[in-house]
Parts: sequence; structure tokens; C-alpha cells
Amino acid sequence: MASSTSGSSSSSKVVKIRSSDNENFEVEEAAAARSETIKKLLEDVGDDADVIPLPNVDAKTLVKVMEWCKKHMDDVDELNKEEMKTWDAEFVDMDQSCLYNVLLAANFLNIKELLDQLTQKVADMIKGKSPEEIRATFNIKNDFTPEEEAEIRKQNAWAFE
Amino acid sequence: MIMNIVILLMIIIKKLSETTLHDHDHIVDDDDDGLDEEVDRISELPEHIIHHIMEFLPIETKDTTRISVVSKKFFSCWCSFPAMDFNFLPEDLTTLVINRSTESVLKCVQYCVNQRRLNSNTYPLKRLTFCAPVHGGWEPEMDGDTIVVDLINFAIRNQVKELALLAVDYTIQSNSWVKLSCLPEPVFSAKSITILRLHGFKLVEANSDHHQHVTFDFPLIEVFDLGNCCGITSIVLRGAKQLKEVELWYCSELDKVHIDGPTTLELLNYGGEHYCEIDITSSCKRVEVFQLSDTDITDDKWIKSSFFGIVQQLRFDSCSLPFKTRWFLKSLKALKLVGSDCKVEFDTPFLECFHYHIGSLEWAQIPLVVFPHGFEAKLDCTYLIKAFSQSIHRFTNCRILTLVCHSTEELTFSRAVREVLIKHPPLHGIKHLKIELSKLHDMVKLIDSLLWYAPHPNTISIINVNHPGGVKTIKKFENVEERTRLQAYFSATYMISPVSED
Repeated sequence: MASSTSGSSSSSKVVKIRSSDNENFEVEEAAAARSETIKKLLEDVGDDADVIPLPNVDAKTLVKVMEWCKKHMDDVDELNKEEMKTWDAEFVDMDQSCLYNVLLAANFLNIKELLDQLTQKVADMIKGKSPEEIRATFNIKNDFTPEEEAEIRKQNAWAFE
Repeated sequence: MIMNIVILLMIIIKKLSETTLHDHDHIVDDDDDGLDEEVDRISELPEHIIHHIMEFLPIETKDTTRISVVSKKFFSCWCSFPAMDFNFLPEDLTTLVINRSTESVLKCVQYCVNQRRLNSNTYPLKRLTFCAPVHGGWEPEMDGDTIVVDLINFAIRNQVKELALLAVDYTIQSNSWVKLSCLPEPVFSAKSITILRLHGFKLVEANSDHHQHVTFDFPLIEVFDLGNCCGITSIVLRGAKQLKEVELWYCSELDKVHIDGPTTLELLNYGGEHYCEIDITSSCKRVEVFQLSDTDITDDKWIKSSFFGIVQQLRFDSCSLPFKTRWFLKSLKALKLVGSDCKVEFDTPFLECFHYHIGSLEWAQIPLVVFPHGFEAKLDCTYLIKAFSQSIHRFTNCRILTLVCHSTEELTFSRAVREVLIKHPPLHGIKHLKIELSKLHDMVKLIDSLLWYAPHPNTISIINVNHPGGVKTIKKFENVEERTRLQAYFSATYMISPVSED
């Protein structure tokens, strides 16, 4: 009985959200509520909500984020944990531009678990690399003068051995 | 007709899949625009997200410091990162080659603190770890004390939560203590500290080499860990209501510890030969685990110590309890002895679990434990189990008995011994027997050997430690008929006929 009630409510209750480029999406409330930001907005406006505007997230990124939220809508039991891990690993395996957009969106929408997964992914890309390799991986321009760089290296020599 | 429809359908499906494929290609093209690879997006991220990324970098790899040289943005993120981790240990600890002078260690610390001051960093610090191999103390030309104390002061002013200062020394000699003589007063009463670890320091007041008493006043402390420190003889931890773990390792001069605050302590670890008076009962009603390591319990000061009455799990690791006395432990639920020479008898009316792990044959004696019926025991007597065949009879009333050995051979008795055992099997009362071994050759032989010890088991579980998942439990012994048949089988095979291994 309890499960059928929750099932019907989660399938029937739909919220509308709007991306920064004015595209509207209909999302199950349970999925959208993975975002603390949306959850808070929904609580504030109650049932009168028409469309929730998300001015910081474009449509393409929003699709990605909602894909994650939908997957993480329900509690995962032990059996599906492995499967979920694989799914998450594939999910964060995206090109860098997309990765940062989703990262910023997860930060704005306040979805802690997604933010952790994405920052972990970036940390894995940094781990064990030399500064040169880090610059190459992320296209970071070295804006130090050679003297400045040499000075920091000298002072922090223990970390560069 | 039908054939035509099928062909038509196939064409439609093919076309559909082509369009989706094409559409997909189109999207991918759109995505790329050839821009992605050249744009630096990571530097656009707000600082707190970069800090979040840095938190996922392992401390020991030095990545968080290495990042400082990548660009100005990352340098600034490094300066404001809410953790300062100095790890001067070589990455490969097995080499033990220290190619770093204490001077360079201290200069790095100084530089880092100065940069943070220049960047007027006032972020609350989550953590300060300082881990350095400091052999023979600071070099004379550097004022090591002042620099380290400055570092501690900086951290405390920034409300540090976890403070770990570890002066690691592989060969502890009395003259090699790093003197933290002017351990600043604020440390003793830092309001923000939740974890404090101090290892390898000589903690004395400036200009004083007298042994002294120190009161620590940390209202939020959860973990207090003092290791290889000298210069203090007594400590008071005052008002430590949140305290969960206390570790006291080899502080050779420490002989009195008073802890006030917690009602339950999860872990108390004491390592060191000598007696140390631990007084905790003023506020504490329960110590979940108390572990003693390398301790000589040669007089009855330990045994008379009142706080053993509130200990629930007691562990002795490489301890010596060489004299015969009876120790009444009213709250004890679990007792574990690892490599300890123990002649003490334990009177433990509420014991649920006893674990004995032999060290060497020299001490091969399972201490007498008086316990209620229905407790669990584990005897780890690898290679030596036969030497215990007489004393294990005391465990015949266990609810579950686990025997740990290396291979089946250790359990197999010669014919002469078997003739005695058949009249007095040592574990005649055992219903549930577990065997943990790392080499299993012959299951039938193993079961046969076990039935000489425990002739009436309901279950025998065999756990191969190399494949812990594959526990084999034999339950057929419940059936009397089956058991008789099995016994007949085994006696026919191994007792009456000549036994090859004899």
C-alpha cells in the first residue's frame, strides 16, 4: 500500500523548470528535489509554482544534471550499488567543457553528491602529475615569470622531489 | 504479401537508425567546435570549488603543494587552502634515507606561513599536519623551536581543528628529542581543537628542564594522542566532554593521567613498559576498549586500578603478566591476549568473548579464565595446537569455539595419543566448532582429526583464510544415525587400519 502511494505520487507529481536559454523541462519532483536549491524554491512557492527559472544553467547542462538526478532519485540497495558505481563513473567521463558546466551547475543547484563525484574526477586528473602536466591537461597558461616560478619551487622544494 | 511488409519494415528501420545516427553525429559536431581542447576552464572555477577539488587529493602525495607553481590562480588557492600539510617523509618509507636537513624543513614552514600572512589569509584552518624525520633535534644554526611554535600559533589563531605534529625518529635515543621547549601556552587551552597528535617532542617550559605537570583545556577535543614525548610526568585533560579516543604511546616519564569530562570513552590505548596511573572514573562510566601494549604488569598497581571495573573490552599485546593472581573484572565482555606471557587468572562473570593468540612456545600457556557458560572463544595457536591439547578442555562449554591453525597436519594425533583421547576427548561438550586454516589438503582427514577433539558437534565450519568467502559448514552431525555412521567410517579408515602418517 505504502509503496503504491509513493509510486503514484512520484510519477504524477511533475515540476517545470526553465533553463537560462529559456527552454522548459518537465521533471519528476523526486528527481528535481535532489537539488537543495530547487527543493528550497519548491517549499517556498508551494503548489502555486508555475515554472522555476534557473538563470545559471543552460539547457544542455540541465539535461545532463537531470539525467543524474533521475538516476539517483531512489535509494540504492546493496545489489545495485556496483551497477550505480559503474553508471556514475561513465557519467563523469565527459569532455572538460561539459564537466565544468555540470560542476558549476551542481554547485549552483546544491547537489552535494554530484559535486563530490565531479570534484573527485578533476582531482583524479591532477593526482600525481607534475605542474607542467597539470598545465597541459587543463590548458592553463603559466603566468609566472621564470624567476617567480623558480622561487616557489625552491621554497617548496620538498614537494617537487 | 507478408514478405513485402517485412522488407518494407526493414527499410524503414534502417532509415530510422541512419537518421538517428546522423543526428547524433550532428550533435557531437556541434559540441566540439574545435574549441574545447584549447580553453582553460578550470581556472574560471570559483576558489571554493578548487579547494573542494584539492580536498580530494591525497595528503601524502604532496599534490596540494605542487599545485602552487601551476599559475598565479593556483598559487592563491594554495595560500588559502584551509589545510596545511607538511610531509617531509620520503615517499618510499622502506629506504629510510633522509636526505633533508632540518634547516630546509624549517625554511619551507616559514615560507608557507609568511605567504599566508602576506595574502592576509584568515580562513579557519581545518588541519595542520607537520610530519618530519628530525634526527638529533634541530640543527644548531636554526631556531627550530621558534619556527614551529610560530606555525602552531598561526594555526591556532586561525582556529585549527586538527593539529598533528609528528617528529618522526626511527631510532629513538634520549638525546634526539626535538625540544619543543616553549610549547606555547595557547595550545594548552585551544578552543577549536578536536584532534591533537604530538609525537617525538620534549615538552618542557622554556628555560626549564624540570619534569612537570601540564593541564590541557580543550573543550572540543575528540582525539588526544601523545607519542614518544618526554618532559612531562603528569597530564590533566580538563572538561573534555567530547573525548572519544586517548592514545599514550611510550611517553617514558609520564606516570599520571587524569581525564575529566567524557561519560564514555571509545578507545584508550596505552603503550609502554612502566606503570602509569590512569584516573578517569570521576566522569566516565564506560571505557569500550582498553589496550595495553608492551607493558610489564609486574606489580599489582594495574590490577588494583579502579578503572578496570568500567572496561568492556580488554586487550593485551606483547605484555607480560608474570605472576599468579586472580583478577576480578566485573564489566568485562571481551578479553584478548596477543603474544603475551600471562599467568594471571581472570575472573570474568560476564565475559562473552575470549581471544587468545600465542606469541612463542616459551609462553605457551593459556591463562585460566573463569567465565559463564555460552561465551565464544578463539584460540590462535598456529603450529602449536597439539601443545595445548590438555588445556583446551577448559573451553568445552563454549557456545562457539574457533581454532586457528596453519594446516591439517597440526591437528592430527598419533595413534598413542588417540587411544587416550578416545576416553577423554578434550572438547566433548562443543556443539559448534570453527576451524580457520590457510592450507587445506584433505577434508576427510581434517574432519576425522576434529572428531578426536570434539566427538559430538552439531556443526563444524571450515574457513580457509585465503578464501574467506568460502566458508564450508557441515551440519550433518545433528543426526545421531548419521554421526554413528560417520564415526564408524572414520574408525574403519583411520583407527583400525594402519595409519600411514604415524
